[in-house]
Amino acid sequence: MTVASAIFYFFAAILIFFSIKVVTTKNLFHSVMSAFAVLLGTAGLFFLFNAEFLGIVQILIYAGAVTILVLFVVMLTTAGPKYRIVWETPLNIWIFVFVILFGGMLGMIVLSIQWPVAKPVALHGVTEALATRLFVEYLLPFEVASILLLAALIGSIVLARRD
Amino acid sequence: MVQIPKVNYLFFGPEALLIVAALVLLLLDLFFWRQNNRRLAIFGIFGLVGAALMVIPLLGVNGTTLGTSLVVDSFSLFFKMLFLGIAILVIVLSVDYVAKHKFAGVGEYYTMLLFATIGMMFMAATTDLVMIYIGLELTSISCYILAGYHKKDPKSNEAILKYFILGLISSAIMLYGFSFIYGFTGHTELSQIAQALTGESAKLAVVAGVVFALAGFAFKVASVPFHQWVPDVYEGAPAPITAFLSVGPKAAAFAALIRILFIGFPVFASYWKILFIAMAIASMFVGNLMAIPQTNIKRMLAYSSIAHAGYILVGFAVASNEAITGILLYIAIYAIMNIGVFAIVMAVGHGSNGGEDLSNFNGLSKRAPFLAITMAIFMIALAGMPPTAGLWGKFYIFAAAVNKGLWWLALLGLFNSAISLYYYVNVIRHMYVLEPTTEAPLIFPVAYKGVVWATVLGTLIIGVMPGPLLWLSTISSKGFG
Repeated sequence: MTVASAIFYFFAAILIFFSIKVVTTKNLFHSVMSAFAVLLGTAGLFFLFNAEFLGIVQILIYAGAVTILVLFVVMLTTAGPKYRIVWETPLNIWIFVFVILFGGMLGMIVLSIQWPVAKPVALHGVTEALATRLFVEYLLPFEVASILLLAALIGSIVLARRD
Repeated sequence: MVQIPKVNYLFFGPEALLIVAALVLLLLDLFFWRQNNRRLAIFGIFGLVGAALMVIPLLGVNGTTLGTSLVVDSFSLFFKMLFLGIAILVIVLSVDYVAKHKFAGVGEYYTMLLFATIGMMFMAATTDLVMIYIGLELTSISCYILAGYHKKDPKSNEAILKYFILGLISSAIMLYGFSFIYGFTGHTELSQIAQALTGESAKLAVVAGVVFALAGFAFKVASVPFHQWVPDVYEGAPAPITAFLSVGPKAAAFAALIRILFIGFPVFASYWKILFIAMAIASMFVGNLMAIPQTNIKRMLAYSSIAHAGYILVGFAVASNEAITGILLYIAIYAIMNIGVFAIVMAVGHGSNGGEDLSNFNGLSKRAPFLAITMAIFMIALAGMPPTAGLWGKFYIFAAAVNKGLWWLALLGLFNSAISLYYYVNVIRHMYVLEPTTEAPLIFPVAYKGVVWATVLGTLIIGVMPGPLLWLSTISSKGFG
């Protein structure tokens, strides 16, 4: 096992652990902080794959701005940070059966596919390549995404404001 | 140096104009026509008509611009015109509804409708998975918000919450499927994906990717087993939005699905055909059988729309060029019929003693003979009986099934049409046989009457003379299947 793959498994373990934590913890605040850890772990993976720009953006926007926004929501809503998440339906055996079967199926599929591997050359100048793809190849999706964000923004205001 | 691609700006005409119209509408609402429902709606209609005019110079053009992000061909133009038509009719239906229910945020209402239409147009006009996804999300997010516009009605709140959460999950699953496809092939463009798929590994990657993507699309087109949200959302959403949801985003999802399957994965048709056979049969039976006990007309129409998705999925299971022609024809005809039905439902629900219960249709023939006779025509059309357009939609899909040796699937479809007659005719019974609960004549806005006239004429004319629409569907489906 190389150093790189060791680091990968380390981040992967963090990601899986905190992803499960996000949905299983009963404390809303812990849930948000676990999500923060997941986002940081993803940033770590980006750095590992030589995508520094994506890694920095991930930390700045997701781990930074989005987490703080969510924290604000938790603090400002009536629920508050002490809010306990209550499970209305108790965990039953079928959930575990389904998770194991589905996860096993996914694992088998992922492991048995011969994924194409990028040549080491492709790992240089990742940021420049990203810019080319984003602003040349995927220019239209990039622009329409701004309309999409605008729609979401207007929509959330419409729904949330008092009238 | 990076090569800046040449852009053919004319190709963006309809979408660009509509985006500008939507943004201007928002500003007009903010600065000049504060919450002036009628003016904003008329402006929105002008925007849509303008976009439709921008389609005209593109007729007959075949080309792509900005890579393959935007494809202009007869297939995409067919759907663009359909979406623009749907949006115009829905805005006409909305004006009086918005005024009656005193919606807060009138400008945003029409802006969201335009945004949803833009998203649908992009979905039908691209062969790139990223663009399909962005278009789909633009449509979905706008629709989530529109579905929750009755802010004080718990049913509408339930509708938006269910639609939003389930919709997000289905989008995530679809995106996961796309990531498999991209991860294996390294492309997001469908024809490049098709070329990159070789070898035994490809089969697995495609199975995983396509099954997940299909699960997402099955949610958007309201097919069994991803249909549970449909009745609640259709019941709780404002009626014009229900009309929009039942024909617009659904048609867009079918358009994207045709592109994905027939450009990206035709080699694996024998695999996904099986899924479509199962989904089609389940959707037809569940939709039709569950529609029978419904007493709320919007819930009944929700189940009926699941059944209609089932008939259309039969076309996917057949997967011949003939079947795709049938699908396009069916989608267009279904849009006309269903918007007409919703116009009548809204007219009946308009008055002070109106409602959306089946009992509100009791004795409608005495209170509003025009609505009763047109509703009867639409019910016959939805059941697929002559001399209405509904017949031809089913006829071409089932004929394609028979030609491909799937006669038993066509037979199941016919059997289901017979089941559907039961609840469609039940509505006619309510209107003509049962006594009205009130003698007061039904008063409803002239806009509803206009939409009913337009759609009923469309249903009857296409029913007698399906040639022109069939010709359009045939040239639009060229090259698929």
